[in-house]
Amino acid sequence: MNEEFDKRLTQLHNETNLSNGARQAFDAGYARIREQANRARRRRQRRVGGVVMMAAATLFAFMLAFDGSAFAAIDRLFKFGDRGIDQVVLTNGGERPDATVTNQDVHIKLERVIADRHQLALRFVLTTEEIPWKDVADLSLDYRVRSADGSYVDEMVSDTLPLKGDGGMRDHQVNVMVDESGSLVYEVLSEAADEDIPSLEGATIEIETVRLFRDGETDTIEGDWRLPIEQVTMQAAIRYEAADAVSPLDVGNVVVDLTSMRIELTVNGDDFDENYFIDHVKLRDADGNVYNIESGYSRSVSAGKTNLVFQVPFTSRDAGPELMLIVEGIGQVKLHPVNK
Amino acid sequence: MEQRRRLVKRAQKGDVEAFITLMQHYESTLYGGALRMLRHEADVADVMQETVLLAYTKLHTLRDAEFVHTWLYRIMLNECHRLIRKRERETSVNDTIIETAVNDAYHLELDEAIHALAPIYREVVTLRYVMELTTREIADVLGTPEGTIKARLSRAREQLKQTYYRQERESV
Repeated sequence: MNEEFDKRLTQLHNETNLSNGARQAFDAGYARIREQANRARRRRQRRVGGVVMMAAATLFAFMLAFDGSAFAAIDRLFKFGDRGIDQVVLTNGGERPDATVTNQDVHIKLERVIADRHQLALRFVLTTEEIPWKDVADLSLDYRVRSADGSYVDEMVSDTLPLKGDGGMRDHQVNVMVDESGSLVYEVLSEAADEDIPSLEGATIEIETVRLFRDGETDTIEGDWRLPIEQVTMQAAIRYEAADAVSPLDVGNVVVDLTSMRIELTVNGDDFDENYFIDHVKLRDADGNVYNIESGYSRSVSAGKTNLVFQVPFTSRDAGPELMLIVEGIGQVKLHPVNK
Repeated sequence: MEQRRRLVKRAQKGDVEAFITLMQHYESTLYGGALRMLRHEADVADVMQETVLLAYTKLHTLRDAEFVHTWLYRIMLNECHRLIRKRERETSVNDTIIETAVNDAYHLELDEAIHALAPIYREVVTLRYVMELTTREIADVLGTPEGTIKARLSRAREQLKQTYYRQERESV
């Protein structure tokens, strides 16, 4: 009897055939990462083309408005190639919480924060007297952002650690560098997932692990660094709506914030090529500047319609009286602000 | 194994097709594990998609290609736990009952017995017998000492055996 049970148990591995639902889920996941990769490729190509010219013109205007040190600042601070983040860096450099905590002989300072409803950029500076940095090839942090009500806004933790919330944000981009004083700098830019980033007033960043990668070995420092970011406040968002209620473009929420504009849009039809909208959606401002989809893109189909959510690098500093949202081959619609 | 190591390296350099080929090696095992943890097909499908997306996003954090399988299973398990917590919250608010959809190849008696186990035992049984990890690997995935894993497996097997044979007797 025991043999039969043991045999059944050891056969479990071979007993599961993939269901149709799981097959579709894997294929949908693969389609999304192909989309992401294509988007990144197009983004790189665009940087060399027209949009870069526009961004360069904007940067040049900022450089004229400020002093020569501005260019040096962008060279070091939050260099993710995000136009909205770059604008903030060039104007005030973001918020400076300057919270520092020491644990396990490692001092971690939360030096800068840029936050709006769509993106969160954090810059940490790590120093220590005990641990030599110079042969460190890479650095990672396990951290969670906890809001004042105790819920987790973001969890950027290794997959060997359990999540305490729903995982939080997505598309984390990380820069690691050594600054002029020899301190290690860790910058991370994260995007909101399905919901807006909530207010960070009273929030805390909880760092659990500092991982230092040297040639062939990893030095893991577990500790407890809690950095308050309560003084970071979000500005009021600017909302736009469609001027024309009858349009092939059914415009949902359109919100402009400090670093980007997030647009919800529905169009008729559900058989578009996976990259169609990435290539054919444009936002044009009154000066003729054109903004393409750069981040936060997701697409779903239901009842014969395609539902899109995406971000363009049009910010609250750019916000003007009238914009044109264009989906080439489908239609266009004017947008105007409702609460500026 | 060497082929998978090469796929990991190519994927880490940005080769999407290499990443997809790599994932396809683990589809069946990931699905089998999630099915035992969650049972509901719709939830399992959600976890499969999220596992693909998260693995792609975090691939650069995988330091040793040799452990790609345990790394993937940890991602899948984290997603299962996240969904279980979410379902618990929803159930406590709405008191809803979600219908269980079962796969044709789902062997009811043993799987019912596995699902009747407490989560910490269900987890080790799934990792050991469905995903074929060693006790050392399970210890790494769960961050728990190997001795604890062995003890949990032993207790889980005893409970499973009792439930399994009781069900068989009752069905005769």
